Amino acid sequence: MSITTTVLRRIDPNQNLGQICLILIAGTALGDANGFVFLGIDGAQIMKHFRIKGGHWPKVTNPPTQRITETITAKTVAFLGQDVPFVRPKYTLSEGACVAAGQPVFHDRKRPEINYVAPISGRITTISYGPRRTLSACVITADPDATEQTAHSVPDHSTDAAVRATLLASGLWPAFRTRPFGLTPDPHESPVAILVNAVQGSIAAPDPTVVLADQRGTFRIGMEALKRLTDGPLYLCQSPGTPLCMEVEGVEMAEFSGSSAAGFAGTQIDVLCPIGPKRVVWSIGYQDVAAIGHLFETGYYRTDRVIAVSGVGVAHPTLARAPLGVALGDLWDDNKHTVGMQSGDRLQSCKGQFLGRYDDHVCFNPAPNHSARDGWLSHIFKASDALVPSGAIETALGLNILPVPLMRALSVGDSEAAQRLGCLALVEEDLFELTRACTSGADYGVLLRHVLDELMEDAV
Amino acid sequence: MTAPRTISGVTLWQSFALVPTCIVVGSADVGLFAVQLIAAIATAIGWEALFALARHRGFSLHGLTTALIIVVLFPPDLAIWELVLILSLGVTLGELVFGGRGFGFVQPATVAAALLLFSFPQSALTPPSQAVALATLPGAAILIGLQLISWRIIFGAFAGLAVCIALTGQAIDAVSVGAAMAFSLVFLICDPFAAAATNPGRWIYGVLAGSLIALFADGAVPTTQAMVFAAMLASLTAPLIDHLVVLVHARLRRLRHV
Repeated sequence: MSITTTVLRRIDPNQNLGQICLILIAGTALGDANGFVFLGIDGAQIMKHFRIKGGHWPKVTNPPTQRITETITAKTVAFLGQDVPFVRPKYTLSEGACVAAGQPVFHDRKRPEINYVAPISGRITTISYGPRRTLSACVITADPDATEQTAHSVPDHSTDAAVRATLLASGLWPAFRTRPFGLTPDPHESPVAILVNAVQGSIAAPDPTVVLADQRGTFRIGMEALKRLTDGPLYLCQSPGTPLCMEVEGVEMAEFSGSSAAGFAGTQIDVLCPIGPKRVVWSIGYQDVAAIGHLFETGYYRTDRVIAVSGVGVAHPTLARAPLGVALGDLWDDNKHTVGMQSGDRLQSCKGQFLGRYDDHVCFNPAPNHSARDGWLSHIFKASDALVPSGAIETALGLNILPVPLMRALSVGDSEAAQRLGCLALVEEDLFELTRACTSGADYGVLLRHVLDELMEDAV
Repeated sequence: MTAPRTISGVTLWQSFALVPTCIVVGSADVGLFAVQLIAAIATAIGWEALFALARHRGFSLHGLTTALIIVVLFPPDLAIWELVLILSLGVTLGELVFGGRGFGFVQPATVAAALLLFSFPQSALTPPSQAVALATLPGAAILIGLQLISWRIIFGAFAGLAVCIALTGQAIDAVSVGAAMAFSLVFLICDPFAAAATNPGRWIYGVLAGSLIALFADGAVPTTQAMVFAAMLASLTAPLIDHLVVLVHARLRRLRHV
């Protein structure tokens, strides 16, 4: 990981050279203060720029055209247990019942305030449970009998309690994820900071400036609502370019560029506001902020998101509006791509049938993703493999964490050592590249989740 | 070049990097060298096979690297039974008792060379030559390119050695010092499993190894014996160095959280 120097952005062209120099000197001097420094000279601002060198540098074949060309009508959508681990659902509607978009389908048994609402109007066709009656999947199929989303009165967003109550009831609360642990936050918890992630981590993902182009107003209302939820700072992380939100006061902005790790909230949090066992930071995606803004502006829960569809063999890789949790088969008319479709990053290689709750791009990868371990060498020598502490591992993490000691601690399940090394700042996505670079064949994401579970139990 | 994703790939690349050196050393007396090479490979692979059978594990060819390093380091006139005995002890004690390649903390060739020097004090290791050092360079370039060995250790070792020699007031003959160090530095000291595994640790490990070389060297140019003992001691301290680096790093991280 590396942090480059402060960059001057958005200088008023009428400003004279002296003022610019003054801003530069002041910015360099104040550079240690995290986030941006607002100097108040003709609206010029200095935004901190972070270039992340560690992590995966994706080579995207056939990247999407950054233009929203389609609106997908979903036939099937699903809530997936893998997006919200540990949630044990209590259904308010039974299997076979009709549901309108925006209507609650189930809530968390332990925290009944947290509602999960239907992204489309339809019929609940499948409900399946995982271990200990946690959510495995809940599938909703579009149905002409189902009613449309009804209008609510425009909710109030002037107080913390009002914003919380609205988000919990409307089903937008699970848009937040906590660090440490990467879970849905507690309804009564107050984070030390909230971080809005609007960084385009890879060119396979949608460009936030394109997505937000016609939603600037709603995005601003969303940011204002988020400010009510914390006494700490509200960070807006974005890719280099025009600032996405200038109008809301007190939003600290930062630019991230570099490897795909720059697009992970974990990397951004570790740079801007490091977490600790008692310091919880929430992160949220920029499209969810726009949806929150839309809710507070109109009273409607906006259930569609812009996703990028790209990959090998896709004729017109582009951006499309699709409901949350859409079946990947619905994204394309011809079914020839259904094999090898992946929700999210190609790296994550989680071959699901539905779009993940927090994913904003889908990769078609028809060739099965052969890992190097399946190569001919491994067929000849079937010995158990050790971890080679090579240079590739040193550059696999986007965060300032020593990778080899962390991998050793995770491999033996030493949660104490892993915590000392900083594993609380991580979730699975931060370790994908480490798993790829390591010779041992261990999945460090899974090992990390075991250690985090142990630490979470200790913390309770 | 991308780094190998399997440990067999690591072994193959390391062995490939050793080939030029073996050709240079072997060209002196092809017959004698071939006998030594066959004996060494048979011994190392034989022990691997035996351990694989005894432990019901998959069979591997990782002993190949050890055998190739050994035939370069050991004197050509060494009796075959001595070579087999020492190499057997080296691969079992240095590697196989820990579970195989990558699970130990020393390079088995280092252990074997050190055992030879202890057990048969009359035998001397092959003295370093410029031809061997030159033949090491392409292999070193490949291994650095694949990031299997760290340039930090190499720079650290040269820096540590230079400082120590300068402190004693001797003149440094850079070419002969470099030639003397090249092979053992690349294949013994820089071995990814024997060296420190954190970047700050690699610098410290390199400097320590360089200082130890200066300490064990008789005069301004280190001998192969000095390199072997320095590699042995340095790799014994590598886990400690890593532990200290982790402690300092954890402390710095905690300070950031306040």
